[in-house]
Amino acid sequence: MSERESGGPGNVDPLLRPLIPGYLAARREDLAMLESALAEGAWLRIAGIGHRLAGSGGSYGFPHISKLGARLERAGEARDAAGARQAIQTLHQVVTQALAGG
Amino acid sequence: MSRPPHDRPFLVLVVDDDPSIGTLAAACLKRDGLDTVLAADARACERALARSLPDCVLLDLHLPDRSGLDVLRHIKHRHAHLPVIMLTADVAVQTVVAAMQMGAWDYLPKPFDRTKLRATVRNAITQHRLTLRVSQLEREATGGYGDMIAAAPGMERLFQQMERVANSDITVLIHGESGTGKELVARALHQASSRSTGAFVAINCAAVPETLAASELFGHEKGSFTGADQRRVGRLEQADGGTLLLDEIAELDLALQAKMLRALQERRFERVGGRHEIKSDFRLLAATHRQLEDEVRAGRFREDLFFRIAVFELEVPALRERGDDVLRLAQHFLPRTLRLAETTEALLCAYPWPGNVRELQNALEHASVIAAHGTVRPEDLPRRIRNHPDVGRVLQATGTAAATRRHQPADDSPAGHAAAAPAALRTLEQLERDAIAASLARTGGNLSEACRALGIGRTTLYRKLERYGIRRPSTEGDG
Repeated sequence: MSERESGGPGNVDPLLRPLIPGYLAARREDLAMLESALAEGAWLRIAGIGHRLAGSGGSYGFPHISKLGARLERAGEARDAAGARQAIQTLHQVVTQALAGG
Repeated sequence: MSRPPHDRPFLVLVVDDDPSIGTLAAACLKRDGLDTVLAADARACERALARSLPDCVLLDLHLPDRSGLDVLRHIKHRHAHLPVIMLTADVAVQTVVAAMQMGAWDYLPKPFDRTKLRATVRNAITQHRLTLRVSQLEREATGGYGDMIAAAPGMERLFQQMERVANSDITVLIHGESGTGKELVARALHQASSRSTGAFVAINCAAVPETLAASELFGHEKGSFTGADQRRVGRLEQADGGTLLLDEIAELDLALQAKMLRALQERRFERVGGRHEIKSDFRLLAATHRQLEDEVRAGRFREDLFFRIAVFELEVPALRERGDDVLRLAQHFLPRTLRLAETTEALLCAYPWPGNVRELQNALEHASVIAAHGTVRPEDLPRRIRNHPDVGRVLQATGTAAATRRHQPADDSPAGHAAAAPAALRTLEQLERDAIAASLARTGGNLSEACRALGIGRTTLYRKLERYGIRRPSTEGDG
């Protein structure tokens, strides 16, 4: 995955720099909620979290998070467990990499 | 971006259940010097609109408690000119078209572009400011606000503030001495609001006996107390869809203040003796001649209620601070067949009007009953006004004190005046002398201003002062 996709430290808008750690920390909480929602089969919750991720990622310089959010929203609506699981795994990688990249 | 009137930063209300959107929008808009207030759902949005005056709203289409389109409809109904920018991850054409048809200023697809967000908000605020400016200029062209007649700078400031709050649901506390026209201000706010088709319900908390106040405000059920032989709808309920004015709110007793606080927070209450909750959607205006902060400190007024009602405060100036408005109002209150004598004008300007506009109106009603020959002379005004020390000085300066005393009726009644000698026609010289004396009194002895008012040159004024033996009142400077 490219640095651009994960939203690494490349050309980060100085306005965003102080906001990104908080944003990513909140995504970690989303990941925990997504995993428990998937375990419970709470599809609407998955779709809702996906919708929010789709709406916010790109604005914070993480377009890939927006794309994954859209995939999660679709998977939640279609009750697609495999699709949701794959999107959650990728999101996990993106968030971890972004946090490591600073 | 330049600051709005009163040096308050522009305010943007961001309504979105995702805190990361609010945080980012706030950071972006701060770059342009804009303040933000965040609301996570429709209820929080309504509360924010009752407590703040945003210049623009960023509204998410999907909210946890109501659809963004419902909230948009509500905002455009109550705050027609307030620009609303929809935020939506759903870019379905029909949704966007529906929002624009309902009056949305623009929409931004999510995730939003930060530069575009700033530009769109700036444009929306500029348009909002221009709309307010146009209504201000239209109002200035008519020389007043609603039924209020005024041109004094203090009143102009008041009108500008009223313009900011009129077309909103914000709670307003109106301060002002007794008789300054606080109810008129409240009525004008109601008339200029989207609630003008609803009722304007006013209750003077000082005029209602303590024992009846709860029933008056909240209503009562039949049989709830001795004498309650039928159900009564209270003022809060009557104001549903309109505006409620709680005049002299400081006079409300503490027990009722607690009940009122709950009713204002929830816009829900029960009638006295009732078991069912009544909902009423009213805009609250409150008025008082007291300093409510002092009442809070003295333990006579609940602090939480104070913060609930003192969201936006207006100060109505006392009449003595309004300069020539005294004469404008006096002409307004007089029948068209009557005019004010120059000395009467000087007198009206000199008197401090402790009872404010109400006292002026009463004085002129009194005078118009007894004035003869189409002119209101000083002796036609109530005695307490003529005998006031400030007025006495003016009358002495204009040389009419003796004449006033000569013609002073035994009492202020029309009959008493009729018994007095009718005023004789005066010569042009006498009129000129009075005019010069009156203009000096009104300008505090400022010769330049007196010349301008009289329409004569300074040399002419010197000559006439000498000729009539008029002495200038002492001044700090003569301009």
